[in-house]
Amino acid sequence: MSSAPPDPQALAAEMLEFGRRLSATLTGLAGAAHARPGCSERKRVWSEDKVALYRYEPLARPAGVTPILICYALVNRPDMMDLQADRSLIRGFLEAGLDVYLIDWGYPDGGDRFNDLDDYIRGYLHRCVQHVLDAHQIPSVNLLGVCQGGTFSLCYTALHPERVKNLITMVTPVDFKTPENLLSKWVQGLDVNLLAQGGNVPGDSLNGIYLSLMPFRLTQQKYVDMVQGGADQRQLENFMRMERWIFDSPDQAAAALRQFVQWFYQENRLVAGSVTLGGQRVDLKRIVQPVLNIYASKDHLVPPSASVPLARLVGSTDYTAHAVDVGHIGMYVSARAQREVPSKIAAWLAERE
Amino acid sequence: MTEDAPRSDPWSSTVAEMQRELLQGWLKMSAAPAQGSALFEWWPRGAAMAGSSGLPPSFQQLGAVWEQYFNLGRAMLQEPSGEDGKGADLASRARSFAAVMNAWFEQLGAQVGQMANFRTAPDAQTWWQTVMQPPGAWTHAAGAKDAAPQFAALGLTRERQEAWQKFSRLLAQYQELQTQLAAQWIKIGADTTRKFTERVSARSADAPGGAAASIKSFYDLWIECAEEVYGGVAHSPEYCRLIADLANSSNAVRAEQQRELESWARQFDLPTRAEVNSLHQQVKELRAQVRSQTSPPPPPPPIAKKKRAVRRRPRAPK
Repeated sequence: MSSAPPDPQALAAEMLEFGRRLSATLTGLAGAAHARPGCSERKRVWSEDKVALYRYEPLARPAGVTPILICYALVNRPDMMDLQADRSLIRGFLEAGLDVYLIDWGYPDGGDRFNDLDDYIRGYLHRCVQHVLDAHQIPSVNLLGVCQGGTFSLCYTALHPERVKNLITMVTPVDFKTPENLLSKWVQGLDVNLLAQGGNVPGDSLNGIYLSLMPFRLTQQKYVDMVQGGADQRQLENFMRMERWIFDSPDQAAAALRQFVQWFYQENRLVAGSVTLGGQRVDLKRIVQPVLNIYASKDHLVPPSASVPLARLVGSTDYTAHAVDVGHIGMYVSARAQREVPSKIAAWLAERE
Repeated sequence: MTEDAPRSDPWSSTVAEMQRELLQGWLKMSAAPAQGSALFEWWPRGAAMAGSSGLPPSFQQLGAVWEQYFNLGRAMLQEPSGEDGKGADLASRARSFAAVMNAWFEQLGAQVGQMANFRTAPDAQTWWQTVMQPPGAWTHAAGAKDAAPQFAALGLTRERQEAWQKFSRLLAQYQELQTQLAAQWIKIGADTTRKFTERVSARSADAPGGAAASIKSFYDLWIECAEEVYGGVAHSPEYCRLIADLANSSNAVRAEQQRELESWARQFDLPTRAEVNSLHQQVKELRAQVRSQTSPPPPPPPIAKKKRAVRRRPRAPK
């Protein structure tokens, strides 16, 4: 901020300009309301209950690399991986010649309230992997886990290492009890049984928690900045796509969320090696295939300190960590990530084919 | 791929009407571009018009954000001019700015209290009074911590009395925690104001006569200070405990409401959540049994010693 006393005429002019931009922005937003995430062509190739597996149409000559299966988080929609043509990790993969599959967990309702982590990881995820293996007649797939989906992918790979050729984790929490992790601090005293007793947890509630991690920036400044940015229709459509994605949050199956909060956030079981699924212990030392761990250096949801410890926990001798100088959301949509991440992953996979 | 055609709706027509209002404001400004009171008139009118036309709540919330921004500009502009006639000094305007932000701060604090919660109980007190119709003689005590009934429940309505007492206690606890949260937010607001004015003063002293400050630069600095102060408080053990307690308390209130609704449903022979849950669990178990009989999962392989051992592993049975 500058230091001189403000000139009243300049202040008046500034407010006039803000009013003009606000008016134009409101009109522009009404015209941008149709913008939705999702840009690449895809086909549903498998489904069960509310879970669907999509395969994306190729955009380039096949690179001859084992197909990559993307396992996204439960807490938001996977559309973020393919937001729009110039902000799409999936498009980056397709342009690099990769064969891309994506798991869409759907929108759980009251009938899914007893779905637990075992159902998601040893159930749906396992059967998605199986479908890809069957479709391509291959013994193992490249698995890319994103955020909470990365945690799921770690568990799955530890349980079924023979089915995962290479593992990529992106903005994935591993150590849930690091000093920077505000979300973790807040839920330490949460009564998870009481939480689950009330049924599925609404997606809006989770969004409220995420917003309250940085309430001034995310509920106030963001919308003032939007107006300041002008009323370029393309930018407003980008904004609307993001906004739609951020607040399009599925409810969380009560049993799965209870386990996730208790096991991972409160008891840090992944680090302790005490996660058990279907009677089998999740031992990260069993992850001996190549691992690429990509994290965001400015991530306030999954701070780097939560991702970096993966290096000492897995059994792999081929472990690569890669920091991208963005925040959590920036990992999916920023120009920097768009430049760095798909090509990095494609090259890393090609080297290990 | 998933784009729908834009369509006209009352919302967009209201926006267009607001824009016309703004244009009229500009015309007034160009005729008499004094200290800009006309500049601010269009927004309250526009906001009032928006409210009367049934706009979605999301618009009204955002409208509050922008209206707040206009209020900041108004506060800075209306600060009395300095002795040299060139306007008040930076610190004076910073104080005006902070005063407006503080008034807004308490409202935001209440919103964040609701946001930082895994599940917000429905408007508990209203719900109780309208749905449960507790005995009139007791309703005055609902929600009042000190008056929460502690006496023994007796007689024919013993179970109802006890349930109501429990609900009253839970509600009082929830309200007490909300009060504690509000106190935290008052402190955050005060600390933010202090930090903000300190920074403005420091910058003014470090570089007098630099480029003129703008409303946006004030605003951004204020947000920066607020996030810093909030971050410090939000990470504190006391605040973390408070947020967890608030969530637990809200869930407890909601659970009690749910329990009473279940009781009513049983009286009218309506399906209850407990019965539906039982059915869901049975279906889940049956499906798991069917799946295990049709496609048994492969046994977990032994721990591989080396990376290459994984690559040589035979393909899993389908």
